[in-house]
Amino acid sequence: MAKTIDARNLTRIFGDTTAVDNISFSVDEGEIFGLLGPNGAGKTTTIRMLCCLISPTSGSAIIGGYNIADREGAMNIRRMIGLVPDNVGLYETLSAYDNLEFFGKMYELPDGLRRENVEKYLKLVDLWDKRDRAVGSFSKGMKQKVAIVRALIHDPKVLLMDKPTVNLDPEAAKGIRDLILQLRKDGRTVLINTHNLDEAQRMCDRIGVLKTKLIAVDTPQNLERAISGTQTVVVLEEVNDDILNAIKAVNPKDIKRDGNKLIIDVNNPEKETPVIINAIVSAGGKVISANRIGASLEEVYLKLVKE
Amino acid sequence: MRKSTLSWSRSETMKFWKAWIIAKKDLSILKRRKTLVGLIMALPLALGIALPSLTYYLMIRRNIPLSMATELLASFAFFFMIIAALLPLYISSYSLVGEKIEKSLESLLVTPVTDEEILIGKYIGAFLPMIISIYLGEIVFMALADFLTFTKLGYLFYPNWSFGIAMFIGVPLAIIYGISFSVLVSSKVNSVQSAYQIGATSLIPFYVLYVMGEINLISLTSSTNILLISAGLLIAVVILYLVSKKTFNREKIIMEWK
Ligand SMILES: Nc1ncnc2c1ncn2[C@@H]1O[C@H](COP(=O)(O)OP(=O)(O)O)[C@@H](O)[C@H]1O
Ligand SMILES: [Mg+2]
Repeated sequence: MAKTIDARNLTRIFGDTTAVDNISFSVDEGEIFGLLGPNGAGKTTTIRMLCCLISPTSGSAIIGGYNIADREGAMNIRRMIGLVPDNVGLYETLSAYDNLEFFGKMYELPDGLRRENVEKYLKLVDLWDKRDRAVGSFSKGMKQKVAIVRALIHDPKVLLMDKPTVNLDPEAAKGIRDLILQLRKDGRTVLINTHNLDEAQRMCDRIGVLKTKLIAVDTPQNLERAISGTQTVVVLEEVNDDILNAIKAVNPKDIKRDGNKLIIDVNNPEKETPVIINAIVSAGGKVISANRIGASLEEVYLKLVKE
Repeated sequence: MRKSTLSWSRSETMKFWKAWIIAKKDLSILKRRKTLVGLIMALPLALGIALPSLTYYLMIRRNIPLSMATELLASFAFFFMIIAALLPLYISSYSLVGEKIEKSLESLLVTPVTDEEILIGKYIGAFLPMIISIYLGEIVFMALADFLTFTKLGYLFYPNWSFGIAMFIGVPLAIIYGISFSVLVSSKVNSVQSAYQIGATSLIPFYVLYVMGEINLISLTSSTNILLISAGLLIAVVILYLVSKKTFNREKIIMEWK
């Protein structure tokens, strides 16, 4: 699959603060990639470098075949990307329609296509009826939707969004998330900055955990699995000494009993769990369920970020 | 400096229509700031009424000699040039700093727009309301001055050459000078307040000329001098524009937001 964004050893230093330290990652075409990290992790700085708004201190990035460091390339990249900045960045006294018309013209869209897109995308976010109202009178969620439409107006292949759901109520946030998922269906490549783990997990195909350095990059599932637990919960119809002895014979690290529930800790779950289950069944135990306790992405994240 | 400016323009051709879109956008934002528009329109208009009235008062009540009255009237041509340089401080400092305050500059800078298109757009957006307002004030001024002084003078004082030169050459250049200065200042500062304060220093040459005129060191009513002053303004405008373009640093503008 084609790499739409390919960041190589990107570094940005402000005075004596290193905001982004030697990060490399790539985003495939049609993928939603999340940059996840706490405040001050360098997410905004990374997005700004990718948008050619600020230059890297060292390293480079290729977007859609163009280099961000190259002047001509930067112009082509700007035509290809849509940015939802961490502030909405709209003209508050102008109406939603006039804002979008203005940016459509700045992107050099032909009149017909521009009007078509303004209408299409305003309808997509349910704001077509409110198009003539000043953006300043909109709620945060509505402004954010207009900001997303603004970023979409020229049908960019790549969307870069800086905390698109921050400060929104849960319903508005869900609206935005659904919209982003819809964008992936249209084949767009999306890079999202977020400090919201749940959001990253729900939407992103892959997540890069950022804290000045890129700590890990993987799918949400793999990130969980990488540090998942070694404990298994087995619920039986009835627990008796025969069963317990049979399990002890396999030498697990630890067994806890809670009524008919056993929490068994082992060193190598892949190998030992089947043996234990087999031992339980041979001792006459009736297994109702057996579940590995996975670390949640949250635990993974906190663990990664603290290190 | 010249060399790098040229190589700059070669890689990014300026599209005038894009500057015009930015100007129109600024104008429609300005239209919604009713008090600001009122202020911009009111100042030259008030002068257009007050200055002839003052002259009339001095002629009728104080019986100043006619030659003094005409000298006074003629000096107002330069007065309007000062106003023309002053007025843009109130709006174009708003227009760039305004983008920073609204945080819209980041959205604008990620579009395929060149620095020059932004700068020219900002210039035009500020120039049009200024020139309309100053010309309106000057027309009212000339009509009222003629109306009030005709019987005493026996001829129509306006229009005349030196006022025409000041109006059609001096005033537009003074406006562009004021705009250039405040665009330059406002791309460097983050509050409207400091943009006004630093921008106000652009008027110092005008004050100096005015004082020199008052103590009869130079005549501010001669066409030649108005032309010379205009030439000076033209040079200042070109220099300020080149400096603005050269020092318009997107990255710095974005970084210094915090
Ligand atoms: N313009 C700037 N000048 C100086 N330091 C900056 C600037 N922008 C960001 N930083 C610093 O870089 C680090 C990363 O900031 P940022 O990219 O905004 O993080 P995030 O978006 O993840 O919260 C922070 O320590 C921040 O203070
Ligand atoms: Mg940020």
